[in-house]
Amino acid sequence: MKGHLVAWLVGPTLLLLGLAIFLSPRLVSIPLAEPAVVLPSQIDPAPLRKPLSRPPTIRVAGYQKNCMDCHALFQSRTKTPFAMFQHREIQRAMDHGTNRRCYNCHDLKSRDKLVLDDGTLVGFDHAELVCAKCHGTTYRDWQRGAHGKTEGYWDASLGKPNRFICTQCHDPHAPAFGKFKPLPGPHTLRMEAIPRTPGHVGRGREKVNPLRTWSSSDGPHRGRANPPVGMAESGEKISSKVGQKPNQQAGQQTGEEKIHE
Amino acid sequence: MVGELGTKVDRRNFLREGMAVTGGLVAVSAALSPLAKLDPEDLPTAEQFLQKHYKEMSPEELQAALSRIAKEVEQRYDVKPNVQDYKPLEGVEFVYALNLSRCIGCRKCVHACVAENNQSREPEIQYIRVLEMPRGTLDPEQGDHHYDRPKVPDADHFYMPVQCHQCSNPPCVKVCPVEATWQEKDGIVVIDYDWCIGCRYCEAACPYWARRFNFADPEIPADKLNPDMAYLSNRPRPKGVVEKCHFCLQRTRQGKMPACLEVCPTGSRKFGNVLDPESEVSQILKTKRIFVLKEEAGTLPRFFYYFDERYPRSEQERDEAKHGEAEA
Repeated sequence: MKGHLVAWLVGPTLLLLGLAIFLSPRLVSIPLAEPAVVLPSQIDPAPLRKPLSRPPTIRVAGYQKNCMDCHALFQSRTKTPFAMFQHREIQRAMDHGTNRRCYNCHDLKSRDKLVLDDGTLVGFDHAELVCAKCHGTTYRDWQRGAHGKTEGYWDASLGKPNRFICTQCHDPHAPAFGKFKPLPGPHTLRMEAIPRTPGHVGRGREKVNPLRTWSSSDGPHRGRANPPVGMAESGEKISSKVGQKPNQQAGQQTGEEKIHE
Repeated sequence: MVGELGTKVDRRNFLREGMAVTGGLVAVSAALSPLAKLDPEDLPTAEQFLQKHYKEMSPEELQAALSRIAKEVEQRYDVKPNVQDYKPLEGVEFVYALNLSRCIGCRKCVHACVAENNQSREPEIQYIRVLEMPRGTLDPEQGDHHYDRPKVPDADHFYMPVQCHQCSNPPCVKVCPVEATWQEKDGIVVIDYDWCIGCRYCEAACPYWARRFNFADPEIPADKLNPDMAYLSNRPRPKGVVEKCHFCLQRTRQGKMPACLEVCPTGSRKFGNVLDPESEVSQILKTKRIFVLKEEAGTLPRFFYYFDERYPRSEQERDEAKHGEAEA
């Protein structure tokens, strides 16, 4: 009699378990996350600031003027700082610690040049010599390569390394780096190996059955330029791959903005 | 009626045995049913199956493998790739140095690497892992992998990117049962993706979480594919193999900088040939206080971290400097 009792308990339990497994796609699901969206502009390796080979020009009354266009005519005040109406945007943004005297770096007479402590004039393309006046340890590190950026080639015999000078990363009037929004990091909900919705390269569904009733045949169209048409639910036989025009649109990946190259 | 083995062949027994046999057949066919859904494209071709290990291939066989890969990529992504094999340069041993006083945790390196090396976007794979470390410790186990602040850097943390250190004494190479991964002459630890069996021993052995496994067929949008590929580095990987940072050997073995370094906005990454005494990395190793992660593991990494004389200034220090000078 005991054996019959055990049989009556075990059998239906297993049956219910089997039913649960078959019905679970409708009952149980785990969330997924959309693929991380990273625009090409966010991983653009161009320098933060443009290189300054010539002194910058300023827009006055609709014209682009060089420094000496005005400063050759007008004498400048020697005592700084004072209220300037032509370089107001620089004065407003000025954030260089205790270095607030314009003539520490700019020459009083030749405004299209920078000046060193002994009066030697240097061009804007050698601004690192000016920064070295006060930031000697950083300049020493820069010369060794420990500070700053060298892009392009590490092997000078195979290509030209591009060593950035100070002003190609730092704004000389407000040198401190601003803050960035960090790009997406690792996210377990984006690491799921999930079945694909047929004909859809993106995820196309928000949840997935954790018991995964999928196989390698789900979505031979994945990532492919020629997704087949007529694909039914995953799990059905794939009859043939129908050739289609390659779909190179940005719409291939869900949630992604148009890429402007 | 009595059957051959002496059992009574009556209706009850017949039905019972019949159901048992039918149930057995149903179970076997259910177990075999995934084979019906097998995509013939997922099966290896004869030449793929018979391909030798990278180190054993003759130049002709290697060229044949490269053309096969190029054909597969063109078929799948409709992009004509340039699949090459780059040998290590003579007299070169790569070293990577990273200035922790300058890293701001922006993760641009992570995504530049993803773009350059054709990593799967879903499921997502990222070779580089940036850790947000609390000030005062250099133990990578204390780092937060999943930080997501509105703005970085945060004043109370510093940021430490971790990727494959191409160790001189690599535990991953030791544990590979099929020698699908090995260290090359220039220091890079490479993987032959067509030889890897996907056991993930290397992933378990690595103390720096450097290795990534392809649980599914990698999904790369065709418009994001980098067509400049190499056999050992950034060609699209199949499902079921392990991959990791390889110092962008498709770039660095041509003398270029790796993608992570190119994109870093603060210039905290340094790369070069340590056998050249005038290179940046040699000078950094000579003059800066460098350290490695998990030194006690004995892996001898060739990825060195260093600080400048002081941490990046905290918000408080910056505010004090600003207010103090305004009052003066």
